[in-house]
Amino acid sequence: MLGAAGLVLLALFLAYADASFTSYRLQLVSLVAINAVVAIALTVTSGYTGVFSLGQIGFFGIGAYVGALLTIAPKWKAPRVLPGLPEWLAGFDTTSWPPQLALLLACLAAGVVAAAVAVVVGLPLMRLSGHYVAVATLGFLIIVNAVLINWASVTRGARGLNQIPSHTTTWVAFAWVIVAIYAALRLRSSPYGRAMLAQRENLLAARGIGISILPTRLLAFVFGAFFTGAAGALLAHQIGAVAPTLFSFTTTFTVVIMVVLGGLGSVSGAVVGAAIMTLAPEFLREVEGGFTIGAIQVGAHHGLAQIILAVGFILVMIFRPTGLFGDRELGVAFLSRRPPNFDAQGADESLTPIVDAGVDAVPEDTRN
Amino acid sequence: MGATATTEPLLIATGVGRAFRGLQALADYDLELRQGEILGIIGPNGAGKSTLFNVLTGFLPPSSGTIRFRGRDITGMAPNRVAQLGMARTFQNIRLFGSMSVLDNVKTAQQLRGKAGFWETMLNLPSFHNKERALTEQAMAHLVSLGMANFAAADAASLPYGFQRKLEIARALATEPAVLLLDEPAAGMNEGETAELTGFIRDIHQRFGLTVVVVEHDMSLIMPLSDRIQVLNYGRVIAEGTPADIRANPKVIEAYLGAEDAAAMEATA
Repeated sequence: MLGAAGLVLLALFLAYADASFTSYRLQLVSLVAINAVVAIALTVTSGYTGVFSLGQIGFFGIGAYVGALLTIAPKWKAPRVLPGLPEWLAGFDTTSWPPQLALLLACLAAGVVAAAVAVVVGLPLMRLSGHYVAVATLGFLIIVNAVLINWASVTRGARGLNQIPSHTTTWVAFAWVIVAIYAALRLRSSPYGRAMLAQRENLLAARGIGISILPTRLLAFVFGAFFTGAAGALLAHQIGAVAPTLFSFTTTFTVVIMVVLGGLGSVSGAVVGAAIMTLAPEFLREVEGGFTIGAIQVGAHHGLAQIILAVGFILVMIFRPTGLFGDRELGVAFLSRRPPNFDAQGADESLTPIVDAGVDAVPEDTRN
Repeated sequence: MGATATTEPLLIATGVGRAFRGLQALADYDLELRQGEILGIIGPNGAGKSTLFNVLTGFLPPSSGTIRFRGRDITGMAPNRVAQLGMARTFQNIRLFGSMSVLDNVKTAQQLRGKAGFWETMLNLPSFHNKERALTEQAMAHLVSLGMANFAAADAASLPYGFQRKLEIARALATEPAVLLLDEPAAGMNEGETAELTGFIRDIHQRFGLTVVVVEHDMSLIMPLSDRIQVLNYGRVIAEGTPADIRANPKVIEAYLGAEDAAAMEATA
């Protein structure tokens, strides 16, 4: 019910936007959607599992380049431009295809390639935990960047690829958001999602009830890589050009902020976080030119937008440390959630929680 | 589970040892765990009880010796595989999936014995819903039979302490084990709660046809419950026998249990 109402509202909004938004604003709407897909993917990869990945944007880059190379017209990827491309890809021509079909192929191929890379990268990395996995996945991002910059015969190096057809529309971008939300929520309410949450909540207890940690985390990692890769292809076909600088630390941290701001583990939170992080800088940019509140006059200050945004994050983290949504989802249950009532059970006052100081000394490894 | 008419004991440990950087936490440990018995393991802090549990359940590989479970060599096997073979445990410090509901805690354990496939899940097929419904019903019935149904929807972390202990046992049982290992289940409980827990363990032991191993400090739990007791000290078994034997063993009482525990044992005699 709520979902259907949401879809109708979204369709009305997109139709309205098509009719009355400038192309710049439409582009912003698409960017919200693309960022939302990446944020949802990271919600599964890191939020569900507690495995903090800083390599997500590596898959974004892989997806963008794979998608772009598929749909760039043959004359722009001929051997004299990109000598490293295999012949079939250099000659692969989607210019006569319906644009949306070409884009669908680009997104799916981008997702599949990113997912395949995720299997290879994840097999060693998903055995790690905590800070170690964060640093290791950051290493993966650095490798992707180095490859994009230096494999010039395929990527044109720092100059990046251009002449990518602008196939991405707000509609198709939001279609991917809906698919990503659906898939993420399906996963969450399934045995696989429960296993992910369980090993996040308590690794040892999860292993004790038979959960195999590596496959569980790998599934989340590959799932996230698929959607992030597809979003990369959407981005490439949105802005028409890709360059290594798009897939940097800055982008990584922006996405991390989206997810943490919304509530790590909440799909709704990821979407809201993506919207805030995409739109707020645009609105705040106007503030930079100076403004007046009552008697207070503020002149033009560069960097003011970032400062206001940063203060905003800090306030959210102080007052809502688990993010705007925690790990809950927007829905009827969310609106009417009440704390459980134990009085009916006759909960005994004497059952006081006692913090056990003893340790069960087990190394937190993940042998499988 | 079914009553397997094997002549071989359920769990056999032979010469099992575990050293931590030269410290021998467990040495020359032997065990033949018989189908259906309740084995108590006692010993002072640092005697090697938790190490023993971790070694038996695969959380720590032994540095020496072999462990066989249900006719299979499980030495060095990962704990999730040991669990799959039918060994379940609880932890000395309660380890629940705190932000998940009580029902989901149980379902996550129950799904070890059957769950929907990945594509069934993603495509939202009817078979997914059938399997998920069966899982929910089974888990709910399990909670009802253990008197915890009222808590099904609550977050595990919000349960009162005694019920958290119970939930940990319920979750372990949901994996349908042949052997249940309880690591200090009465830790932090008062006398009344301990008595209730003793009844609870006895009850599930009968109803589920379980074989149980209990590590415990609390004599008032271990003495009336156990068929057989092993006493561990400095990583070695220093005495073994029925509760009456252990109670009467002057070596155990004087050399290690101390006056206070000896008095407690008298009181429960």
